[in-house]
Amino acid sequence: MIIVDGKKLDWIRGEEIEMTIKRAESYHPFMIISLNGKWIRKEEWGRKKVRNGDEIRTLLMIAGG
Amino acid sequence: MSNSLTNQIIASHNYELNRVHHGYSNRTLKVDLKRKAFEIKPVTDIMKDRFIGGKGFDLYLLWHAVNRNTKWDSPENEICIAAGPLGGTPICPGSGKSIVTAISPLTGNVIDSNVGGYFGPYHKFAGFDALEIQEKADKEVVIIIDGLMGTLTMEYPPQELSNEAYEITGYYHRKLGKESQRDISVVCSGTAAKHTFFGCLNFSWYDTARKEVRIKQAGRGGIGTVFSDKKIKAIVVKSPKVSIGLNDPADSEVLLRIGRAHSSEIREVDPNQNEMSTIGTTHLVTIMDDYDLLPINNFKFGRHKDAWKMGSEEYRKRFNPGFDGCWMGCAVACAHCVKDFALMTGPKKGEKVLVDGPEYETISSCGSNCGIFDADHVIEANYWCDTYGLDTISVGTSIAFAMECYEKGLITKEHTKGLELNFRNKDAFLELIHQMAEGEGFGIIVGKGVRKMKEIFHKEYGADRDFMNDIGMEAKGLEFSQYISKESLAQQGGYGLALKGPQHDEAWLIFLDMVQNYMPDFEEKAEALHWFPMFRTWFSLCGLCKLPWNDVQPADNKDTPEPAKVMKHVKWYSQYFGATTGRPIDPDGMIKMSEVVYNFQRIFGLKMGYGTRADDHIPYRAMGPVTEEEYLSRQERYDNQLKELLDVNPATMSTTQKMKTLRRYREERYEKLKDAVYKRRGWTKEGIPRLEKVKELGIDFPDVVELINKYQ
Ligand code: SF4
Repeated sequence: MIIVDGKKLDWIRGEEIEMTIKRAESYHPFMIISLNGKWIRKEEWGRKKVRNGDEIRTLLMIAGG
Repeated sequence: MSNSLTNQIIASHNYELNRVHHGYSNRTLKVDLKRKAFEIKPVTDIMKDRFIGGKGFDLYLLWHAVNRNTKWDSPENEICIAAGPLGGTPICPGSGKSIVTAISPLTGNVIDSNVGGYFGPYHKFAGFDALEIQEKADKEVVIIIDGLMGTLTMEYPPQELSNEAYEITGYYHRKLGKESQRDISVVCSGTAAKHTFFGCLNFSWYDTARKEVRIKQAGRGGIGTVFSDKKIKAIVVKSPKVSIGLNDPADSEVLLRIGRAHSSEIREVDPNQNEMSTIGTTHLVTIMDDYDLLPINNFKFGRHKDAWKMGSEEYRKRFNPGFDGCWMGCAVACAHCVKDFALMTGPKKGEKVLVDGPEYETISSCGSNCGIFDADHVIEANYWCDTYGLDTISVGTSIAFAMECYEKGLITKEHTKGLELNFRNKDAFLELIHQMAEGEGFGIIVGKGVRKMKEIFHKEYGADRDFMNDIGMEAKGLEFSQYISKESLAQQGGYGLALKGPQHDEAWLIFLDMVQNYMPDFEEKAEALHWFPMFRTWFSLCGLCKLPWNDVQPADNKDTPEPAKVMKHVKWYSQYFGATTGRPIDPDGMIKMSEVVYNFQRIFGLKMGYGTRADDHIPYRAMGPVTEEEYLSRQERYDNQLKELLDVNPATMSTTQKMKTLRRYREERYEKLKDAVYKRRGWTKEGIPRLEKVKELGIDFPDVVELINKYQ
């Protein structure tokens, strides 16, 4: 099992983080993604595989401060 | 401090109280400190039609007060403070802002600052849309605007009253707020403003739940220094009780409907987005760190293993829970405080105090950018900067520059008068702040800001000017705010092309550009550097805070056609404006309003001897790695860019050659960006608004045309 924005989802072996987020309906063009508490770069969204037990969080970020 | 101290009244004037009509009181107040006189002037149709209010009114009044030779300390320089037509609407999130302008000691040009606290709306409800203060007093005075009695008073404050902001604000809230401290707001600076070029102004409000006076800062550009030079101790306003009706909206039903929808949306989504109502802007620390964007050691690097020590989780533990709106009912409520903080240094060492903040910018400038990763140190620095009247951003960026110069051997212990000014030295950092307040030691030199330090270090200590120009994080004379812009060309433009200097409030584009790759080519970046500043300018015309626009987003924003602009909120704002003033506008109309004032401000720069392409220069550290240490720390990234973007083979090059090649590429791109932005804005290649543009915007006043004609 994995958690995306507090939502529990089945883990799919080999699934990239971007796909998982779409499956959880959390996708947004201006989001940033944190995997187990670490923000990850956009280039990695389509490469990085989700592991069982991972916790993913998305955050909308257009402006700051 | 006792309230029974004696104040000596030196001028007094009764005025007729009036009612605000559709967001405007339709009068401005001018104070002449030399003649000890008050003048009430009407707001003209041109002011309302073209300049709207807030920053627009300030600029209009300042333009007519100063001339090309006016310096920051010339008597004719004015401090102008205004709310806007939407200012003072309790239901509308972030509608309590005051906008302040003056000729800046740091830049020599017009500076503007947008600040919370209750002063701007209270001043309007006391009868005036804007306040302009000219000349200098013979000794420290306090100006009191009593909007209940209809009196304007100038008095000498009690001699015993200290110059620390918390003392001054507390004293006048108690003295004049006997019935209700909530109806009072005070503006003051602090002890250090007169010894530095980056004095800030503190704007107060009374926190009824905590029974404490709170303050927010108009930080940038040294307006507190101008205030102190004019010998103003405080400006105090007393307002009638605030209600939605006090601003006399044209359609209060619409205003209530939108205000309620906006506020309840914020309350619903903020806990799942940035949690600003709980942790303010501190969430940015670890996000910026993870994206290599958090300034470390004078903007050399963007990441540090200890950044989490100053992240939101640390401040969550320290912030005092409760409602923290810096204006009544602001649902974002991000202005947090730390209570019962035991001071570790300075004249009040050991005393427990309330500290307003810290926000992200202070954490970075007074912390990571000086190599310090200690949440309590930042709170301590925040307290002293506020109460001494210092801008935390300029303080931190200036000390970081001095620290790097010290580590590089450009200055020595002899110059710092014994201070070991290495990065990480928090004692030295705080000592410099106290020196700025005392007006002694090396603190006075640091207190003049990065541009002046470069001059002194070169002329007096023989330091390498070119190197300092590369690492000194100032542009137009103003110190950079706290984002690493090396990998975001659009943010380089956001800093370098900002009218007042490198402050992110005009355009914050790092994430849209670098992370989300929303604007890959020059034209798209130029487009963003048009619409982003225009929306943000609009908030300062109306007396609003920029944060509720796009720091909190509607849940369905992604399904809208232009999600980057958060059009749902933009439409609400246009409705707020129509419902308040009775003057309907659409989002394009908002942009047009901003364009008028934005172009006017650029031309104002020209009047003061700036405002050209050359003034939009930024130091190379804002664009790329200046030192080998910086290059080598991100070698893989830079080497890849050389291969992929420039088609050269880094394996055959020395680090010096690689740095040179990368630098040429990055500097050329920045110049191309300038071209694209000027074109989009309707400016010449030299960055001057074209005559056709000025005519189209309706600001072709004879003096404006005469001025820009020389540059067409
Ligand atoms: S969003 Fe924050 S800074 Fe802006 S008005 Fe509200 S409380 Fe003040």
